[in-house]
Amino acid sequence: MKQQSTQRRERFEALFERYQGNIAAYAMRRAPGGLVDDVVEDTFLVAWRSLDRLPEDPLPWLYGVARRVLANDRRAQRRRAALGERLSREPAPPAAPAAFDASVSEPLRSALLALSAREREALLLVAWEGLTPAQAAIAAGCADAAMRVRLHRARRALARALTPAADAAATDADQLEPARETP
Amino acid sequence: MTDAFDLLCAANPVPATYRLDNATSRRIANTIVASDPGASPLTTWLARRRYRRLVLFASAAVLIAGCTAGAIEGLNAQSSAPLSGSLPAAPGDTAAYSVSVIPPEGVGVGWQILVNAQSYAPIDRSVLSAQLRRQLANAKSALRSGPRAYMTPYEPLALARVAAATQAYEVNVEVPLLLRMLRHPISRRELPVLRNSPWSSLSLLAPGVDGGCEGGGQSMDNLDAPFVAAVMTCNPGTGGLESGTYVYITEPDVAALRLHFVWGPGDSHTMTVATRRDSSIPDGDRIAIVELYNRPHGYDVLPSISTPPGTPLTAAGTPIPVHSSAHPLQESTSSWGTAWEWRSFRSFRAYGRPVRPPYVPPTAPPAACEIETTQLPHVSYAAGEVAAYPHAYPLLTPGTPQVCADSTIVYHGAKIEAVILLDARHPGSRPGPLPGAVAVPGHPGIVASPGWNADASYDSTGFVARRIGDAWLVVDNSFGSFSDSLYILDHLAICVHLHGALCTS
Repeated sequence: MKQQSTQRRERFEALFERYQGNIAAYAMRRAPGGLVDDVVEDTFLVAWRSLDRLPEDPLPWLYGVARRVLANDRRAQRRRAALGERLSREPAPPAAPAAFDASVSEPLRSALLALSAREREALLLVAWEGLTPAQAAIAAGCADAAMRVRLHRARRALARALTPAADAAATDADQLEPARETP
Repeated sequence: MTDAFDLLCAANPVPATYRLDNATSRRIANTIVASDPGASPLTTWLARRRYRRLVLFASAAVLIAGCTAGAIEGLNAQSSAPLSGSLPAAPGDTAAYSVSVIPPEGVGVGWQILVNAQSYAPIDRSVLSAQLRRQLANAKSALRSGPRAYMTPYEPLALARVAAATQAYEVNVEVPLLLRMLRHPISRRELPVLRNSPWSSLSLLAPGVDGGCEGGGQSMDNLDAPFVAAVMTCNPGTGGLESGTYVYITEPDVAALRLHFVWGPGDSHTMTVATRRDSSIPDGDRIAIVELYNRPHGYDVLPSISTPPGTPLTAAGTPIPVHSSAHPLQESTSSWGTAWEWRSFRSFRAYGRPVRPPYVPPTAPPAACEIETTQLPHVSYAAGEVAAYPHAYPLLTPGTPQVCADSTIVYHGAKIEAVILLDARHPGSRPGPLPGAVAVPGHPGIVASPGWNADASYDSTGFVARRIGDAWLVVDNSFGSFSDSLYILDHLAICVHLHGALCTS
């Protein structure tokens, strides 16, 4: 029993050592800096409890856990804010901004924020986390096909949002010009 | 570097990995391991010797009870949700779903599950992009009747205001899933198999539009006889419950399904649902529908369909073996479409999109079936697909249809699907009846989908069909009037070249 426990602990520590940087970076891009440690801790706590059931490639799964940890934290923040409002307390001081807010240019930030949460997450999992669409699907908890659709739409929406003039011209052309292509 | 995706990659604000400092990472790892020496609190508890005998005794009792309970599992199963119903949505709004099995609308063999949702998505006009605000304000109805419809850059948006106070607009979502019915090489009887798993997403209509639906079926890589599964999830927007409509079509001998839903790591639950017969489900197959909502479990994503989706049970509660298999067939088809159409998702049955001027494919793809619109003014083609040759599938269930040509046409701005159905077992012999179809009074030889409404001015969500020789011509007008559907059915011309040419006059 003790040997099993030691082996288990070693497996976990290897897992933590290998992937904590990825999860910390993931959290850093999406959450205020002060929350990064908490997200990493909560994510790997779930991993520790699920160690015997981890998939062969655990990274997408870990991203999925981190995503839920972040979502739960946001939900808790909203609840706390509502409670604070009811009790007429002073609002809490604003948290340090996420790297996303601080570093990304305004046009790109606006374009990203214009996406739905799901599509934004799909895009960022591939662009920033470097996942394949199949891995991103695991992280997002959806089917491969759904992830491909989300990615396609998100990329298209992003391109349109960043080139409004070209978009308007394309829309007009779509509606007014005769179709010229045949696949 | 002009590609938006490249710009996004370059803007990554944090390196691929961001290592915590050594002290922090050590603290976190130690805290986790120290807080929980085993896999879970349960395993810690089990590790204590004095509880082991108790656990062994309890396990044996549970095992015996489980065997007994298994035999009456079918009797204890919860009921399937009905084939149509309402979904909880944002306060003051309503949302509804319906599930039906209809003739397929894409080249392939089998029936199609249609999961239709009407969701009311709140729109915050104050945050709409200026461009979209302008376009919405100037949008003119592409329809002759019914609400105004407009294509956003992504999906159609029907400007039917349903709740003035909430600025809500109606969004219709349909999830088409084409099935195949195969006997070989998959074991047991004919197997309904998804031809593909198109996912239709409306989660983003445009900036400022919140809510929508998406859905799809099992992956083609995981075919689990004796049943197939599909799910559609709808989010009615801020403040509403996200709902999941899980649909399972089973073979006739499946009385119940034991379903396993995984909500998140360490969070799953199992439910047993009785299947039900319905006259609209062909071949005596059965259906089970489950509604789930996200909020009680605290996760923002509803469970995916697991692989396999569950355990089928007989009426006595005995598990029926699940046979997984790879998809054996790939049909040879020719496709065509307008430039605009090919940049969109064909799986989504869009409506109200203006396509002008009329598009005519330069050359008809060589095939056994043709659909002509020359007798119809105000019609343009959008896209289509034809089978290179309609193969015979003699081992299929009698009556299983095969689409040998499908065309999407645009009539007064509404998109309409027209397909030619043949008998899949023996193309060229008389095809069987369409599930649930009923005769249309005053129109000899014409049938319509169950619940058709002659007075519906739009969104009939039904088909009309007539036999032409040994084929069915089916017209599905998802966003137009019933009379439009009949008019088009009367004026489309088809040819079927099997044993000599058979063409309408």
